[in-house]
Amino acid sequence: MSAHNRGTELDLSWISKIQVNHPAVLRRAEQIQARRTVKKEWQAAWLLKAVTFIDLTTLSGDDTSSNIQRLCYKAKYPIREDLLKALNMHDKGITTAAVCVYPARVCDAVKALKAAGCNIPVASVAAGFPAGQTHLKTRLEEIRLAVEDGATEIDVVINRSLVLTGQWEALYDEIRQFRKACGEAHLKTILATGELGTLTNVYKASMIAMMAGSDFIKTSTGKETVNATFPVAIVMLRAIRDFFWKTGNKEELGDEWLKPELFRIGASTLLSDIERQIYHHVTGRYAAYHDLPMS
Amino acid sequence: MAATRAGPRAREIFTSLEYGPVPESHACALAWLDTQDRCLGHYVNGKWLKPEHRNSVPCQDPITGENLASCLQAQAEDVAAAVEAARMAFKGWSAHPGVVRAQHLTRLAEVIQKHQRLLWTLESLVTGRAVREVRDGDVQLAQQLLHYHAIQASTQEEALAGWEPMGVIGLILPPTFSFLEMMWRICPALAVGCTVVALVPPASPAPLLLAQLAGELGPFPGILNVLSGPASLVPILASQPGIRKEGRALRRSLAGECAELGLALGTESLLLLTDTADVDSAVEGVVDAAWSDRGPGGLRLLIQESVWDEAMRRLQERMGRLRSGRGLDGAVDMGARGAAACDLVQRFVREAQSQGAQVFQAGDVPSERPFYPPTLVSNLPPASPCAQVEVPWPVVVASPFRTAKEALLVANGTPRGGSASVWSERLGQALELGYGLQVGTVWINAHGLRDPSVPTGGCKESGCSWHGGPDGLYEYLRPSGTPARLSCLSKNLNYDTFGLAVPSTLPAGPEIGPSPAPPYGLFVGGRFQAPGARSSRPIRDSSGNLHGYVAEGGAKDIRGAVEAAHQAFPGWAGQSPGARAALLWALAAALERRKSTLASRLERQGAELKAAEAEVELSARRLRAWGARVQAQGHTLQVAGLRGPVLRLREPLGVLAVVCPDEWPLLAFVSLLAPALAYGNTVVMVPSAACPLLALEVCQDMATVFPAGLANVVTGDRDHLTRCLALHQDVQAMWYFGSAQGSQFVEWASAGNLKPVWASRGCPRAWDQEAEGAGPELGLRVARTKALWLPMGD
Repeated sequence: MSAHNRGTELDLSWISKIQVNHPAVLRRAEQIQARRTVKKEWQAAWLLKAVTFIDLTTLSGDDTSSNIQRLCYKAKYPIREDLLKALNMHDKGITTAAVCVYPARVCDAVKALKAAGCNIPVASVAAGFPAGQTHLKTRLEEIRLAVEDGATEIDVVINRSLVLTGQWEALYDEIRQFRKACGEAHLKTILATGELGTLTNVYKASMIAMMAGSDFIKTSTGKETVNATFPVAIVMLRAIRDFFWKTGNKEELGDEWLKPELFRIGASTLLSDIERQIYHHVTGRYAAYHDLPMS
Repeated sequence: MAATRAGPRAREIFTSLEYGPVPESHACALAWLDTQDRCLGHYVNGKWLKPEHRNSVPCQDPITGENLASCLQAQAEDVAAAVEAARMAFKGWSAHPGVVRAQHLTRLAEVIQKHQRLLWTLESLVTGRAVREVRDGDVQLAQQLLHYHAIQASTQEEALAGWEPMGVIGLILPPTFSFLEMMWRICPALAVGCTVVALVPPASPAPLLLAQLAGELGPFPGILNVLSGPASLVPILASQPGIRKEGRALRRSLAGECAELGLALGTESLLLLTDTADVDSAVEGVVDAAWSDRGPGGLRLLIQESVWDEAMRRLQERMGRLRSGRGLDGAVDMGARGAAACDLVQRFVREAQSQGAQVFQAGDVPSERPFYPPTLVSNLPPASPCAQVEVPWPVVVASPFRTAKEALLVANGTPRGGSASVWSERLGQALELGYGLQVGTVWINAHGLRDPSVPTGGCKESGCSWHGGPDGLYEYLRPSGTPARLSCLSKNLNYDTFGLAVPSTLPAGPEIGPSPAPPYGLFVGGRFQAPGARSSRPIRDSSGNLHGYVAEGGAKDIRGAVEAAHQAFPGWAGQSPGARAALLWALAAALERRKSTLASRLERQGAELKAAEAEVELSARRLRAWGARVQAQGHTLQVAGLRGPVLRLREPLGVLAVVCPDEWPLLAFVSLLAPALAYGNTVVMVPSAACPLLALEVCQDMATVFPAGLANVVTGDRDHLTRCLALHQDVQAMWYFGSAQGSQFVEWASAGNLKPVWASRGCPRAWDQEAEGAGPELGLRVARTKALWLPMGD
């Protein structure tokens, strides 16, 4: 795991002048999807890369230790071994980036992964997931308990009301406290962009979250009516690039950002789609439902 | 498990995460060329025309240089055959009701839809442009154009009553234009009932394919004829009764010919980036404009000084991620445009560098010719020659500005006026800039959007023709009953000496006649001034007696009048239509008060008293009518795929020079003055040479009613004044009602700044008739359209 983002002092001038033009970003989002495409080996390699970015997730009310166990096994073996062999990728140690569960299931996940003999990090949602509408005290306590149970990544949700009412200092302070409560665990801040109103707010919330020391910023919980979309991803990536420019880091959001330490995709069904594509690439046939193991 | 067929490279790509080739198969394009035995002729009257003994030009893949086919070059007789076919087809095509034409255009759209893959691979293969842009942009827009114009055709009888198709349209496409540019022009032409002969540059098969698709549809084979040939054929095509397109040289060579001429020139675009903009999105706008194979030319980029560093950093970072490669690759941003384009840009960049500019190039671009990397030129001294010429593809020339006012000065300070975008999140600022830019299209916070229902065109030297929307239709229409234009070309007209010298005039005796004496002097800048030449010319009445003396105006007086008109223009154009109407109405009232004087002067010119009084009354009515009409100008368009309105604005041309006809000394003068002023132009007028006294009477009222400089009236030798006005570079448009020779001269001289010209070519007009004296034709010619795109969303 990479080092933590130490954050910076709150500097509101970084967000005071920013403007994000909604229709222009929408057009850009359409373009990106039409202008870059990868085929054949490139497609296969890119898809495998995507697998390593996945936070394999289950966040349901009916999660029990048995399906957590299955999920953890799938995280360890995301793609059928014979397919990887065919691509000469079987020795690359391809696993998903993390397993993501509710706090009450962290113990199950840690145990299952230990049994499978791997060190995939366990991520726990926390801080009043998914709405964030609980007392700050309980949200902080939730984080501490998850860390105690063995979660090494904490996915917190931000308090959307602070964004919508423009209380940026308060938002900064809250995330700062989350950061402290996480201790050594990584702080992944979910912005719930579908509930922030405008793309300009998305940019500002991203910047505040990074200044407060988030290691990752994530689009959404999967529980809002609008979740991860291309336009908000563009705005967040621009914010990340600007943050790194401002903090003196010369990196740009190019290829060097495409590693699991820096880039994640939270998903539950994406993995099986990818496996399906890889199957087709390797065999030239479309897979039957039963050809691929379930997660 | 099925057999494995994976390649060996996945492992390396997994680490490097590079992009791979995404080739689009062009097998169908080659197969189509094979059906022609790799030899392309012309498509005339629904058949391939492959005459023998013609030179041929190879059609090459611009990237590999591979020979794809040979293209026969047309000669004069081929042009004649095509024009004849179009003329025959015109009779049937224009006689059909609009609904029939609409059906045919719709069927053509469907055919294109069915064979679009062939069209886009062929176009991308021979032009080298990125296939994505052709496939997702051009081909889709081509179909939308056909559908839009089919609808226009179906409502033509009601919506365009009083207009008739011009006839055979000659369309000349320069080499930088794609088949889409041809579609923008042929769709309205075909919709209103015209037929087309298109002369395309050598080795451009996509227009030929389109013609074939259209021709094979059946009943109307000759409506679209495509010839491929060299530019030397242009005058030959133009000398056939037809119209349309190319450059300054064409304007000169066509002077006096029967053809109407519409020009669309220039490829450069402009982008204004203010300090309130979403800079990242504006940078994407730059990519759209210059580095995505959408526009044909380069970009002038104006950046507000306070965000200069930030914008340049983002721009340079973005450039690093651009990809260039073979056009048929589905994952490149830019293709290549062949050796000529490559030479042009190399020359430009070398010169810019030698003049002290900084050049930044980046991107993933193959190093061999004819690829050229995205290029950003900055610090180009404004006075250097490179700063004046048109920016070539794929260059962006960036320069700073301090305030919005300065931005307008810089942006409007070029002879080009095609399109521009404004990036600002402040509504007031964006509109101020959008209204102030002298261009045909302005996008606010977007760049390069197009739609069939939005008129697209330019102003200044970018030409004055329009395509798309209602304005595009009128380009191919004329008022019903307009006499067919005959060639009035006079081969021995000497352009160097026409109107150069003023024949001297001598005193012709004392003035006798009704008092008060007519006002004396040139009406310039709101008052009567003595002419520079300090001499006068006698004006005689209908019985040959001396009616009075008028001042003999000359070049200096014209200069002064144009200056006065320019000074008055910003104030007048900034007035609301209501305020302008109020002043026109005030002038109408003043005319009515002066009715008896005017009528008696008209009587001395030989009019019956009744008729003279009627002329005065009609003149006053014209002033009122135009005042009322201008209030209902401009409207909002709704465009598919865009949230937010597109404003279609009607803007004044600027300083309009009007040479009035000899007949109807009062009515014609007022009929021309009224629309010009109503739409916000200021004018320099040369009144009737036979009797300028009536105009001078009106000037007495204008002196009291109008602000100074709004209307300037210069009397004198007609040919001499015409010469001075036509050669004046700062006159934005010119109307000439007079002799055929004068018309020819005006058309020739207007090539200097490509001002739009309306010349009567010796045909008289019935000024007392509503259609000719106050018809919609005047309303169209007196203002220019601007499309202002306002995307919305938060």
